[in-house]
Amino acid sequence: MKKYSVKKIWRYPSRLVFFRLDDRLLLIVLGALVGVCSGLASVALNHGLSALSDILQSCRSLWWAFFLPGIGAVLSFLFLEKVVREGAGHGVPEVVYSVSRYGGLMRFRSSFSRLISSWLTIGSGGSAGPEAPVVMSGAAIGSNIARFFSLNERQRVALVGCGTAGALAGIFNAPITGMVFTIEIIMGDWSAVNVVPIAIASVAGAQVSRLLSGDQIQFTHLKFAIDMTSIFLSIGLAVVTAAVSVLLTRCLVASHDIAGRIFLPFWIKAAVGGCLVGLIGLARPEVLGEGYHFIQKMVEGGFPAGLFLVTLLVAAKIIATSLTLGWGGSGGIFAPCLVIGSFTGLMCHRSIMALWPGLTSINEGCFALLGMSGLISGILQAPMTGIFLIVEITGGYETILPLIIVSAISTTLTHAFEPASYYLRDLISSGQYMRPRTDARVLSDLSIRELVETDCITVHRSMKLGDFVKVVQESHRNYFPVADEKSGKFVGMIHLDDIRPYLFDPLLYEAVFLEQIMRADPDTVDIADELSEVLDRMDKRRLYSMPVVSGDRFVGMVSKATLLDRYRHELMVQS
Amino acid sequence: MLLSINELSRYLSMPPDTLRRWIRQGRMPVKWKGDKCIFSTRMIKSWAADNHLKFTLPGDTKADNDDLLSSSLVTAMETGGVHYGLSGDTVAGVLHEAVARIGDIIGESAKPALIKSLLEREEMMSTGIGHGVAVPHPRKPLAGIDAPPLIATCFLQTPVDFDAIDHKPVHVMFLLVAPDSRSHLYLLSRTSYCIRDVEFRGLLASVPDKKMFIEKVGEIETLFGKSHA
Repeated sequence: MKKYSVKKIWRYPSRLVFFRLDDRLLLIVLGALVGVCSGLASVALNHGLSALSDILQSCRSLWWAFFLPGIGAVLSFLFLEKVVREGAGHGVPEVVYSVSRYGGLMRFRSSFSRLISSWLTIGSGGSAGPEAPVVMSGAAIGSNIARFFSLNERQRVALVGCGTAGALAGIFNAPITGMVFTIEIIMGDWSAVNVVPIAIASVAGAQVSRLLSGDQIQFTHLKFAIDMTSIFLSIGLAVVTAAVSVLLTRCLVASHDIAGRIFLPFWIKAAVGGCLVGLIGLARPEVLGEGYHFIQKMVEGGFPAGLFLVTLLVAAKIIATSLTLGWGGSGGIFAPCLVIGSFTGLMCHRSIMALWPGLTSINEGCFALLGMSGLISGILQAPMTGIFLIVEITGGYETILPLIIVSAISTTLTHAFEPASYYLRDLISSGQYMRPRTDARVLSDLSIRELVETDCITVHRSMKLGDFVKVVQESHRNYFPVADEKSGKFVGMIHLDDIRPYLFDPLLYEAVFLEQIMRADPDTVDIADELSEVLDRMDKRRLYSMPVVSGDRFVGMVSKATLLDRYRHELMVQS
Repeated sequence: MLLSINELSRYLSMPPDTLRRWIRQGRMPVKWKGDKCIFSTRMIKSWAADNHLKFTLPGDTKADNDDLLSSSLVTAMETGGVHYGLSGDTVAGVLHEAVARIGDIIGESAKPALIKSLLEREEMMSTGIGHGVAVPHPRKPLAGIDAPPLIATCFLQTPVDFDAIDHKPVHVMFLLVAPDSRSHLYLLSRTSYCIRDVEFRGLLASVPDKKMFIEKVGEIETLFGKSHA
């Protein structure tokens, strides 16, 4: 047996008796560590982005500035594809996939790859957000810290959650949003065991960002007065944001499809997409980058644009985002959603003003806030995240009532048209989306190998019925696999029902061989098959049990009766 | 406590593959230490109880009933004893006599109930199974008898008409009393297996002494065990 030296015991904290009994304290301590690290990652990206855009600021007015997003997209793509060899994509689905399929296992390089690639994309002017890349880095940091300390899967998933929470809390200075987003999108499970370390990590991430960047609220604003009129108008706004959410989702998917159909090297596609964004940006610089600068203006209420221009901006930002993300750029959907949301809010405000010029009680800043919340809730289909994010990044609790209404209605309406959120649609369509304690989760955990019952007695094809009757006497099962006596190959099955008519006819005992009674070539299950597929086959053929083979050998039986037993245990153990 | 995964799997009656996965996923309070599983017995017991699983260490279990049964035809016959020269001309007469002979084993108070039950059984259908042998037994296990399963072998002084299936008068009775149906059926099936043996029937006709008789029964029982194992 391997001997572990005392010196190394700190590498295996879960072995300490103190933590073995209850790992909650261990998770809280490590969660705080993960939160600090992912908070640092988010601060680094934030500072990197502002530094890069400061440098490029002087070039913005030059005629060739539209090449910048193209160059950024190419560099970012080449970095992801060639240097770190990770596929494109914005990050959040990858985290959810790893949590639901591999117990939160992530590569170490994921903890910085998206930071650099999104820094290149967004810093150069691509229309994308830094949040999803930071979330992925945070998750990878959590996963690797868990691996460093040899934690098990459940603990690792908790630390991955801590990483995302810390990262999001750090980048927005919004601890509650970090928690809610993690639980709503990443974990899908509100159990106290996970919530506590995630909350601690949120605090750690937010605190790190406050220490390094100052405690500032992202979008400060004047106080809004919320009255009955705004509540009713917010319902109308929710409908518009839902429509825009659906439009954005469809545009993103369509742009990705179009890019997939063009036979060009990927880096050229990234360049083309980036340059097109740059061209739009020449006309309307509002669409470039993460765009938080313009949100601030809109929330303050001093954004100089009429109804036509704002509508144009909504469309332009949607197109720019689709071009950036669909054609190979790297970044998240969060920030573009906020920008499009505030444009949408403004658009609604301008239309209402045009219809009822006398209404003075509604404020355009307030509508911008509500629009952001509506878009986030619609695209992510996560109403809680939409509500808390806006409350926290604007520091305005007084808007909470219309916020909840907009979030709820926008989520519901978008769900009617797009049943899966933008983050999860690919996972759901490929069947890789599994939440804890769901049917899919349990079935994917259980394997045929675990369910197979091996207490069947194998008989030979040339055995006489008389000898077989003796075998039946000793067996307590109804199924008997038949094998070839020379090769051991599985050739058929006999069910007790098959011999019942001959059981009391001693004349046949010496005259009939099992080969004549058995059901040849029965439906079999391979030991490596997925349980969900096997169950589908059983349901289709109305079978309650099936023989399991490995190669051409019989291994055992798999039956629904045993499955129910194991299924229940699995559900109980998971909770 | 330190156990291998296979031992742990046996004590929890779950497949080792499932347990390996649960440990990896952190669903049970067990850790790997090299290739062994390390855990606290108290914790795993409470975990198992929470999840409707059973965790039984070998020391916790009582001896299984199967072991008790495996060699019990001889044991039951030794308990019941071999009795010679039972007098009586009627079924009721010989049954009274037989019950009187095992009175000290089953207890005096249980005798009337046993006789009543035996007679009831004979009224329903004779227990004379042919070849001059009868296997009288109560229809249901009797409540009041606190004795191990027993078979009293009774050689009759004069053959008695039991209304047997082959109408031959009975000269040997195996009085069977068992505390539960399982051992009752078990003993009945083994006794009838013995009686089917021609050699054994010849031995019965010669009224052998106790030692020789029990030896023969043991011999046949081993044969029976072999053909059914």
